[in-house]
Amino acid sequence: MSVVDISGLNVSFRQGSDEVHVVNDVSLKVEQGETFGLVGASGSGKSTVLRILAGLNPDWSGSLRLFGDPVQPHSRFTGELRRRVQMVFQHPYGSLHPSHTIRRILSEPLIVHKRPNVRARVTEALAQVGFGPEIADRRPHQLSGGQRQRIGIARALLLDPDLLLLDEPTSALDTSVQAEILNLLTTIKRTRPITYVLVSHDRDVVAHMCDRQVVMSGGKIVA
Amino acid sequence: MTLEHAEAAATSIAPDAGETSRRLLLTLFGSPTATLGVILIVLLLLAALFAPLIAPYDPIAQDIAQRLLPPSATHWLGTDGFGRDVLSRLIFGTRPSLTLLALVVVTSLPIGLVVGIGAGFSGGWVERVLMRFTDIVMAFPQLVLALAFVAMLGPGLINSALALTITGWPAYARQARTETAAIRQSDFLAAAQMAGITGPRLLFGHVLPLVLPGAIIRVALDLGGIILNAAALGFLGLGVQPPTPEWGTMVSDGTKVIFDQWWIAAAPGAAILIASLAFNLLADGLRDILDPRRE
Amino acid sequence: MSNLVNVQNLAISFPAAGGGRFEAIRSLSFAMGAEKLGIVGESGSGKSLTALTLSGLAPRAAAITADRLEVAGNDLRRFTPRDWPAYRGAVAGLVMQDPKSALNPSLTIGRQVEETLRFHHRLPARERRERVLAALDAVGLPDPKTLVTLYPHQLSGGMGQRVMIAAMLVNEPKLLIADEPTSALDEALREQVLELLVSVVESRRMGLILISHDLAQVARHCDRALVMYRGRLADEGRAADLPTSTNLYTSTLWACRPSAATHGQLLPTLDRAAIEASL
Repeated sequence: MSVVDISGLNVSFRQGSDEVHVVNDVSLKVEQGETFGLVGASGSGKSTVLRILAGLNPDWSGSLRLFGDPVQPHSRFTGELRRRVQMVFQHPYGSLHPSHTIRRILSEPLIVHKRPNVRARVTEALAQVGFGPEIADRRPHQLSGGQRQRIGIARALLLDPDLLLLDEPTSALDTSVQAEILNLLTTIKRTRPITYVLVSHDRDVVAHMCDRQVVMSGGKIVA
Repeated sequence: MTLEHAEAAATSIAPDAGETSRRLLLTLFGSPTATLGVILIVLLLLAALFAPLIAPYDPIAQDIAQRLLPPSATHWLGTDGFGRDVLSRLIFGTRPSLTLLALVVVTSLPIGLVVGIGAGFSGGWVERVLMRFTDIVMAFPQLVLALAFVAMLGPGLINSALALTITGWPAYARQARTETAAIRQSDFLAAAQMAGITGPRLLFGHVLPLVLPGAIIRVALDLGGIILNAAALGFLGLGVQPPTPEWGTMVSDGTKVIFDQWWIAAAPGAAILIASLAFNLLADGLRDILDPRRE
Repeated sequence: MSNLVNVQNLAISFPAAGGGRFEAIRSLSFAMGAEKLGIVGESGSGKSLTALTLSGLAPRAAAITADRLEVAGNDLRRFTPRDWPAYRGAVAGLVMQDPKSALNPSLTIGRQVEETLRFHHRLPARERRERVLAALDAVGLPDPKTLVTLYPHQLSGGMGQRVMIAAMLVNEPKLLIADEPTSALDEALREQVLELLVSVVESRRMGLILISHDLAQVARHCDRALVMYRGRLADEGRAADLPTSTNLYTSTLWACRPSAATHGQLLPTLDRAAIEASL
C-alpha cells in the first residue's frame, strides 16, 4: 500500500474565458519510508500538489488516496488523517504565530488532540530538535531563521505523523544553517518510520535528500 | 530578498502584543502631546469619579434669586437661568459624556470585530453579504441615523449610546475584515489548521490577538469624535434629560441667552473642546507608535 | 599600481536594542585594483553592509569609522551628502538584488537610463540617446530602439537586471559593486547575467566587487575573494583556490553543500565556537 497515491490530479481556475491549469493531470505514488522529491521552478505547481496532500487546498479533481484510503475533494481532513499528515513550511518568519510563546505553539496541538503529559512532551519535542527547555518561554521574533525552522519541525513531529510534507524547508536559510536542518531531517528519518515528500526548486537539496523524484513544469510532470 | 528584509517585513505585519504595550507606555510618556492628552483624560476621569466631593454646589439645586450671575468668587463660572452653579454642572457633566463614551466603545467594538473577523475568515458569499451590509450602514450619515433611532426609541443615555453604536461599528468591521483576510493566507494559520485547531479556539486564540491591537488604536482615534456626537445629541435634547447636567444640553440652554450671559454656553462648549482634544492628543501619541519611520 | 579601492580598519556599529552597541563590522581591511573581487559570507557577515558603505547607502544609524576608506582617490569619510550623488554615477555603480524593485514602474526604460546620464553630464539630447542605446546594446538586450519605449513590468527578471546594469554603465564608472545580483533570478539566467557582468567589467577595465553567499559562483567568476564571518575577515586569497582552502570556515562552508554525492549522509556543519575562536 502506497502512502500517497495520486491519479489524474487537476487544479484549475477560470481567468476570463480561459481555464488556467495550475496542476495538470498529475499522477504519482509515494511508498512507505521513502523521501520523495518534487522539483520545479516557481509556478510549476509543485507547492499546490503539496498543499493538496496537506489538506490545505480542497479544490481539486481526480483521485487521491492517503494511506490506502480515498480522500474526497472539497472536504477537510478530520480525525486520524488530520493527525497523520503534517507539514514544515517554507518561511521561518511566517510559520510561527508572532504573539505566541514557543511553549504555546508546541502545547496547543497536544491539548487539542487530548494528549497527556503535555509539559513533558514539549520538553521532549524541543530536545529532539536540539533545544533545551528554556527556549519555550521565548517568542518567534527572538529566534533566528534556523531556530524557527527547527521549532517548525518539532511542531510537525508532535503528533507522531506518518507523512511529513516539506515545502522548501531550507530555501530561506543560509547554506550552513541549511546543512544543520537537512541533517536534522536525515536523523529523524533514521529514528522513526516516517515518509517525506519534499518540494524544492534546488536540485542539489533534492538530490541529497530524496530517494526518488519527479520534475514539474507548468503544472505537469515532465521528468 | 535578504533574510533581514524578510524579517523586517514579517514583524511589521504582525506586531507582538507585549512589545506593543511596552512601546505604548514609552510613547505616551515620551511625547509631550500624548502626555498632555493623558493628563487631561485622567483629570476628566477624576472629575467624573469624585464629582460629589469636588463640585462646590449641588448641580440640580435651583436658586432663582441667584440666576444668570456672571463669574465671581462665589460662582467661578457663574450661574445659569435657574440659578444653578455652572461649574458644578460642568463637573457633573463629565459623567454622562464619559459613560456614553464607554458604552459606545464597549458595544460597537465587539460588534465590528465579530462582523469583520467573521467576514474575513469565511470568505465567499458570507464575506460579500456581510461587507455589503457594512457598506450600507456606513453610507448613512452617522448622526442623522442616530437621530432617527433616538426618535424611535425615545431620548436618554442608554438609547443615545445604542444609536451611536448601531451606526458606529462599520469602520471597525472593515478594518478587522481586511486584517483577517491577510492573516488567512498566512502559514501560521495553515499550521494551526494542520494541528487540528479550528473554530473558536482558532478565532479567539490565533486571529483575534493580531486584529485587536489595530482595532483598539482605531477606537482611540474615534474617541474625540464620539464625544462630539454625544454632545450633539445632547444639544438636540435627545441625550440625558434635564435636570441631569450634560454639556450638550447646557450649550443648548445657553444659546438662548448667549449675547448677555455668554458664560452659560461658553463653559460647556470649552469642556467639550477640551475633552475631545484630550482624546485626540492621546490618539496622536498612539499613531506615532505605529509609524515605522520613527525607529 | 595605485589601488582602486583602499579600505583599512573599517568598523561599523549600530545601537543595540537593549542599550550598548552592536558591531556589524570589526576592523575590515582590503585593497583592490581594476580586478574582480568577490566578498562571500552568510547573513550577518557584513558583506552587504560593506557594499552599501562603499556606495554611501549605509543606514543612518550606522556609526562608521576607518583609517582609510578610498575609492578611486575619493576619501569617502570626508563626503558630505552632496558629494554622494556625483560619486555614485561617475565613480561607483551599484547593481542590486531585485531588479524589478529598483526600477521605477511608471517611467519608460529609456527615460530611466537617460536620467542618470542627464544628472551627471551635460550632453545634447541626441548624444544622450545614442549613449543609452549603446549601453542597452552592450548588455546584450535585443532591439534597443523598441526597448526604450517599454515599461519595467513588460520585461522579464533577467532583462530587468540587464537594464539595471546598462543604467549603471551609461556613466562609465570605475568600480562596479554588485550585491547578490543573481539571487532573485532563476538558475538558468544566473550564469548568463554573471558572464555579462564579467565581460562588461573586463572590456572597460573596471573593478568589480561581487557580493554573494554562493562560494561556487565567486570561485568561478572572480580573481580574488574575501570570506567574511560575523563582521570579520575570516579568509582571503585567490578565488579559484576557495574550494580547496584550508581555512576552517571556508572549507566547512564549501563542504556543507548538499548534492547527489552526499545523498543520505550527514553534511559537515560549522563549529561556530571554533570559528569564533580562530578569528
